[in-house]
Amino acid sequence: MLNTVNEKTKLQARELSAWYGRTPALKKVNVAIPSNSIVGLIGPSGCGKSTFLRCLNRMNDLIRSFRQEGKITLDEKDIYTQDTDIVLIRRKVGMVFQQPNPFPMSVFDNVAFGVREHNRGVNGKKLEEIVVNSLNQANLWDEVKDKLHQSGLSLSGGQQQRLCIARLLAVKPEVILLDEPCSALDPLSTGKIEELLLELKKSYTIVVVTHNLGQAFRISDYIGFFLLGQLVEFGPAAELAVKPKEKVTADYISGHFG
Amino acid sequence: MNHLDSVPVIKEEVKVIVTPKVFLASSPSVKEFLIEKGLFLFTILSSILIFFVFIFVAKEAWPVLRANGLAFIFTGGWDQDFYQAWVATAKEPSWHFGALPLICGTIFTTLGALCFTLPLGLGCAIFLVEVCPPWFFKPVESTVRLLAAIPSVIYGLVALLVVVPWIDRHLITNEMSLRMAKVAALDGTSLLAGILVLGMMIVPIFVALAADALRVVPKAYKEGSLALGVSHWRTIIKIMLPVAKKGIIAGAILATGRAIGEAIALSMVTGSVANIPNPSHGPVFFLEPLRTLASTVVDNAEGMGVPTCESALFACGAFLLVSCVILSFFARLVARGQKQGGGLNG
Ligand SMILES: Nc1ncnc2c1ncn2[C@@H]1O[C@H](COP(=O)(O)OP(=O)(O)OP(=O)(O)O)[C@@H](O)[C@H]1O
Ligand SMILES: [Mg+2]
Repeated sequence: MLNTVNEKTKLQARELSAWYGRTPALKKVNVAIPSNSIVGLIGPSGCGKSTFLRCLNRMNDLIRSFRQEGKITLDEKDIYTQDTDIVLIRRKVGMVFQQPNPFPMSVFDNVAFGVREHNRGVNGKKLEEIVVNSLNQANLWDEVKDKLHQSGLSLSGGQQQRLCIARLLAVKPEVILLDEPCSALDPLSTGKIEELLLELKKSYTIVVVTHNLGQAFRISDYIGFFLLGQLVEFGPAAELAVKPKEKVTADYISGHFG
Repeated sequence: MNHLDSVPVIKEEVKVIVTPKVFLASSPSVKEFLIEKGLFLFTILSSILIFFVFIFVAKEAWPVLRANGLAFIFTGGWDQDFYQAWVATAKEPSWHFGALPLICGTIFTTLGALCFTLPLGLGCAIFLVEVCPPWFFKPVESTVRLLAAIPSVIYGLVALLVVVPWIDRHLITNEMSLRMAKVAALDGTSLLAGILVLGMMIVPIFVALAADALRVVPKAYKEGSLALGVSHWRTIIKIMLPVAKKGIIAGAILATGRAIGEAIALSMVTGSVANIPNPSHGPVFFLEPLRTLASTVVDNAEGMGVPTCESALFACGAFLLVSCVILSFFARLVARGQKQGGGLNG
């Protein structure tokens, strides 16, 4: 819709509505997420940002009361059909959570886990190479190169979050979803992750939920504003910052919300 | 065994229920002081009680253990020995006892039951926690907990009325009975019946504990793995089971403890003969009768008046106590590993 002509749409939601039991969480969301860009999702607490994000890689399938209508396509292919391979979808659309959740195993094994699972043949030198590359990409290598065999849980919060990003990069997804990845982190770690996302944009499509408006405008190419389950506004970050179309968006951005 | 078991349990109840209520009225600091000291006292008391149980059993068992030495463990013939001691005169008591059949009986029934309980129970636990819908989970879970609380004599009764006749009718052939006539009479009371009834008794305990262990695996681990595009089954195998490993092992240890200590149900269905089933007999091995250490204490209790017999039974009790100690040592080891590592490595 609002995307510039030469950009390819990676993910698209059409008339997407969702419910937890009887409570509606999303109402007729329409959005096209262009590839190789960062899309920031903002909005007050409880407005459905996480719900939307989790629809994109079918994480909501785990919640029994969850129900949805509408369509989501990845590379023009519906991901909610009967014969969709959910595991394959999640492999292409990876997710980083709000709380860093490294597995209780060594730093090395954390990164190697997904690779080993997807490609049983990979081991030895090849596996090491992938792990080192991923840690490098996640700007974490220098900090953990001496503790590859310590538990991932022994790292600091910021390092843990970058470890989670590294373990996702190791399995080479196409889209990375991040749900408030910096909410548990200090400004320094936050800065590192922002840098990292800008770097990753070259090869991945990124959707990031954030409560930090500064961060949203610093890193996003597009911004979507959610309110009470509706996507009120979606557009290039620069436009939204200067002159939002809707008054609620302007209010929210300028802090006069409510 | 049973009365020994119950001693610490009663103590704990006293500890929890009595102390807080008695001192509620006093001022906070005095109250706290008294509660603290009271709890401490009860802990000391129950420790001393357990200590005395050990001393008592050891003292009673000692004459037979000293008279027989290692032969107590390595020779058979318990039933004849027991009869000899029972009829011997007080002037010339017979001190010779060989408990090998009883030890083998305990080992065979316990291992046999574990062999089918552990895989089956783990499968059930995974199904309950990860696969079945919640409306199914709740009733099944309460049933499992109820099964775990049923007294063992009920299991024994059902097995005696159903399993034993079934084995007699369908598994034991005339040819087998003839072949085994010299060793033992085959009538359905057997190792197999013992394994089955023991398995039925410990499966619910193991399922309940393993399911608890699986349920408390942090959801973040599971979601993290799924979000990498790892399938549900691989996530269970590679992430959830290793994280729950400690709890599952603890459940297995508890189940083993119950299996080793079970007396009544086994004495009902295993034939109560101090026979050592011989694996070289082929499948008949499972159809041979036997008797375990714990069943022996119950079945031979009429010998209690004779000092030699009494000491021999206490020696059986001593073995059960030692195996309990070893098991709880393992349990402690597992728990400690959890605190230090808490990881999947290794
Ligand atoms: N598992 C769930 N079960 C039931 N209701 C849920 C569940 N998850 C979210 N909801 C409800 O759906 C609505 C949207 O929640 P969602 O988590 O998507 O909000 P959000 O925008 O991510 O909020 P926040 O910024 O606080 O994370 C909320 O009203 C919430 O209460
Ligand atoms: Mg959220």
